[in-house]
Amino acid sequence: MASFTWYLQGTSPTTIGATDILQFAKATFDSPITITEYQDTTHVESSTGVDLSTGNSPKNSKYLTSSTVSIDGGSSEALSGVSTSNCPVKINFSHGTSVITYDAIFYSYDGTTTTVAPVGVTFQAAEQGDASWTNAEGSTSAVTIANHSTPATSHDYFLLVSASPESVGEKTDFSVRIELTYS
Amino acid sequence: MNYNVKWQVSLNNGETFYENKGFFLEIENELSPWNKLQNYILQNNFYITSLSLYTDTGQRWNLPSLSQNPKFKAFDLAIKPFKFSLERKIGLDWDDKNKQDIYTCIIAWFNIGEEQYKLSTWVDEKNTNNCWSLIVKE
Repeated sequence: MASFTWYLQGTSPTTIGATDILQFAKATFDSPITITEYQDTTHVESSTGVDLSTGNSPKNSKYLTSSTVSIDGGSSEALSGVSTSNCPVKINFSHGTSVITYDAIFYSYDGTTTTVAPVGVTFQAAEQGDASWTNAEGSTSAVTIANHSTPATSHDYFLLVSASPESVGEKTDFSVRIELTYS
Repeated sequence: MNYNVKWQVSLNNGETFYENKGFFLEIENELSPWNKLQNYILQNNFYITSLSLYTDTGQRWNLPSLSQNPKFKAFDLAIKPFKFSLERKIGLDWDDKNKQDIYTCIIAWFNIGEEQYKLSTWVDEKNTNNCWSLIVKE
């Protein structure tokens, strides 16, 4: 049977558990981001509000321009040059027998209808190696993830993510989803 | 853990195979049963004549087939698929990983005029009463 495991990478990876979320923040956990700015830090937050990634120096990818990024507060660099280890999000797909994966997509939505953009958030995402960010809001605007054409029982996808609030307040109509096909 | 929704395939040489039975058992770290079947078909130059899904509780979903002995004329006159395939779809949200969706899809490919269409039937692994069919232009 198939399963996904999501990680926030860092000095050690933090598993994003069943009911955990990724928190985008300013300088520290729980610090709000200024409207129209992108996050300076990324964290794993439990359903009870605990910072689960503290101590793991979690990675952060901050959107600068359509083709550049700041990794962990560093200077501007080409998005296409970011290594897999510097991508904040790693998603592992595992399967008991060897399968190929294809038509994988990654996007944000309002948490209810997959074609609807999240409310009050601008969300950017890219797969490692992409030259440009994708404004991945709604399934029709998803990031396309490269096919894995060699059969294997484990497949890793490395993603950069960045978010910016469009209004004051916590964003609850905001979820992120991965879909893929395997055989 | 094996799938609730499994495939059944008939080939042009008369053989019929079932997922997770016989040579097409699901064995950890080996090729998936479907990939084993693809290798078998390729090595022997066979092709699929019918593709279905079924459950051990007796549910069944059939695609139009290449059957040579239809019981009704309508089946004989129907447009025949030129290819079959199977795939599984999985989707997951990062904030509720208990809601993972897995569907098994069987697909028949048709040439209609100058264009190709795919008829796919999707069955929900968690609740096999959930089933949808889609027609998509390629």
